[in-house]
Amino acid sequence: MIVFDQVSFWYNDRSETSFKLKEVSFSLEKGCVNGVIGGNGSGKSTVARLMVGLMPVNSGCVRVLDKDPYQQLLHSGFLAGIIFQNPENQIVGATVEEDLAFGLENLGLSHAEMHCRIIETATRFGLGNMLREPVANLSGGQKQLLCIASVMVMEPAWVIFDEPTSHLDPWSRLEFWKIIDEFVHHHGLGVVIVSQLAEDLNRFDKILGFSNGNMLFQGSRSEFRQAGESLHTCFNYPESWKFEQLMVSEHV
Amino acid sequence: MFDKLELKNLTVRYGSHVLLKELCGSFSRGHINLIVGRAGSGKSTLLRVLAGFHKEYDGSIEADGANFEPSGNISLAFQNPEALFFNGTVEDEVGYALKMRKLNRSEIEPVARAWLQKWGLNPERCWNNHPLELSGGEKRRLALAACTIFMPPVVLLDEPLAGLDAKGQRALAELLAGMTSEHIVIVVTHEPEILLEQSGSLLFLHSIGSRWLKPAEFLRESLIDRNFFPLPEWYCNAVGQFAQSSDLPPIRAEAVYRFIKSRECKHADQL
Repeated sequence: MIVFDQVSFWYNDRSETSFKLKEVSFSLEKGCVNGVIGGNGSGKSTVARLMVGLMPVNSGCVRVLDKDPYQQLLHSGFLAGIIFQNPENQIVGATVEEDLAFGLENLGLSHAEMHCRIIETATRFGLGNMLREPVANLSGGQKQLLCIASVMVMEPAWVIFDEPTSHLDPWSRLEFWKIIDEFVHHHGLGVVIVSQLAEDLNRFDKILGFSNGNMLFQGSRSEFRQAGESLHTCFNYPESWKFEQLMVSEHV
Repeated sequence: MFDKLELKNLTVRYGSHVLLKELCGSFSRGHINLIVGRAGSGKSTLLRVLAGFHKEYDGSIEADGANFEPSGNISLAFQNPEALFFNGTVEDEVGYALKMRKLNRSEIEPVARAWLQKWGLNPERCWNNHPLELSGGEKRRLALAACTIFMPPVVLLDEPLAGLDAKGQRALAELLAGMTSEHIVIVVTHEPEILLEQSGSLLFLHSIGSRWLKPAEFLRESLIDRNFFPLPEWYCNAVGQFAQSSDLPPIRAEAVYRFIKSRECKHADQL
């Protein structure tokens, strides 16, 4: 479970206009796809970074699996993995195998254990026959998969994806959602997906909606759909829902 | 200003690997020219060839019938162009290309202010700001303003809509459409549905052969073969049965709704 209790956060620049996350409280559970939505500068990526413990909160409390992710990251490892928007920023190994091994080396695992996990994860992500391949030879979609695999190989309880599909081609996006579905429903992984693509709303079971540092909405997808136009205008509303509403409205 | 940029038997290689083979066709002024395809199909490489950065190719590129010289005639905006800001103020960033063309500060300022306004940025508000202090959508517009201030006849944009919110995407789509009267605008994108209405041609890059399609042909092909290009599922479900129709609607809820209603009326009339 991820719990935010009255969390506020601001960056060092404290001018009037600067961004501030204001007293945000919510809890997220495993077993469903959790979505964090909002426009540019809404605070959604800040929330993702706080969940992972990359920054300390200014007030309030963040708990992941009942521990403080920032303190955990400082002292004894991580509670939640994060996958950033641009895979180029996350790949550290020269080959697929080296990139998969990087996190495991830092966890201090034995060579035998590392080898097992690398083979298993690479196979699951369709990278099994590319272990010796230089990462520079991978396509954009394959690099994104490698980033996900390199986090998953460490077997985190939660994974936070920051706009995972924005650099993927439409074919790879479909593949990505299949993988997420499998991990959420068959491997017990906790998943949070930060996105500003309207159509991604269809993939989320639970939704947190941010605007200008405020959390305007938390609830299920169907609650979001019923939340009314004043809320919908603050977010990207999927064309598919607009179309359904038009079709339904004529029968009312 | 050019009217047409023509590719003649363009074969592009990376070492021994042939990425694009005997590509023929043209990009025109007056509408947005789209390039789509899977990751690794050569979209960005084609932009780099047009920009003169990638030289491993055979065939030729002609602008209005003469050999095309990229230097000074093109501007290429990379993916996430705001990551390349290197000036301390918005003023210096947007005016940099003019400074490199030996214009002095007093000549640059009015042009730069007008250009920012054209790109939807208020110079009064942001002139002395650091470029990184702007919001995500503003940064993207500043980056594209800085790329185009010297009025290059050909503007190449690699994923200009990626990472912007819907409002930013719509605003940028309108700005790009507005540019097409004076520039040949070529856009690589994974989201052609946003720009399809403003585009006149679409180059679909594929390892087994590339094709130039009209937007309507692209929609039709994608509806008939879902694997050709994955259009949004709701759109395929709604208009899939009318794939052969000559007036397929754009991928917007209201347009699709009107299209379906008109089809139902036609059907009722026939009965």
